[in-house]
Amino acid sequence: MDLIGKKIVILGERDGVPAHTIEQAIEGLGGDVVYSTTQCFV
Amino acid sequence: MDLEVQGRIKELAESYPKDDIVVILGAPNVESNLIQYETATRGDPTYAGPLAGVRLELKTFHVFEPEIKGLVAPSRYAGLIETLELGLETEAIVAALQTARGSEI
Repeated sequence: MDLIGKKIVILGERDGVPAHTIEQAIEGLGGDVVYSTTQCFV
Repeated sequence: MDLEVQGRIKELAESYPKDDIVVILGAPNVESNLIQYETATRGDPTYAGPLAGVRLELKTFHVFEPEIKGLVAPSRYAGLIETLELGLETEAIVAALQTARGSEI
């Protein structure tokens, strides 16, 4: 699988992997991030 | 999964071909990952949100799974995510999602 041309939805979580960290990780892999959120369940 | 998030995912699935959408999870434990996986593939298991009864079948992976991890340059992965992996139930999360995927009807 690759992310080229894919629409990427990122569901990060504050106590796990935050969305901005995932965004940084996949940057440059050809995907288009269409939604990114970091959820917080306390 | 948050009801607002479910609504946004539903809208996106109506705007783009479902095969083109990839959901990447960052949840910290098995239970929350399974709920998010289930919601994005077979519908909201709690029947509370916009995705109740909506089977989107979106490709959904945790960032720790080889399908995503394998795409990221090892040095970048090490710098950004490896430390987080060490503090979470990484193996259990990966195993649970692979089992959930394998049990799809």
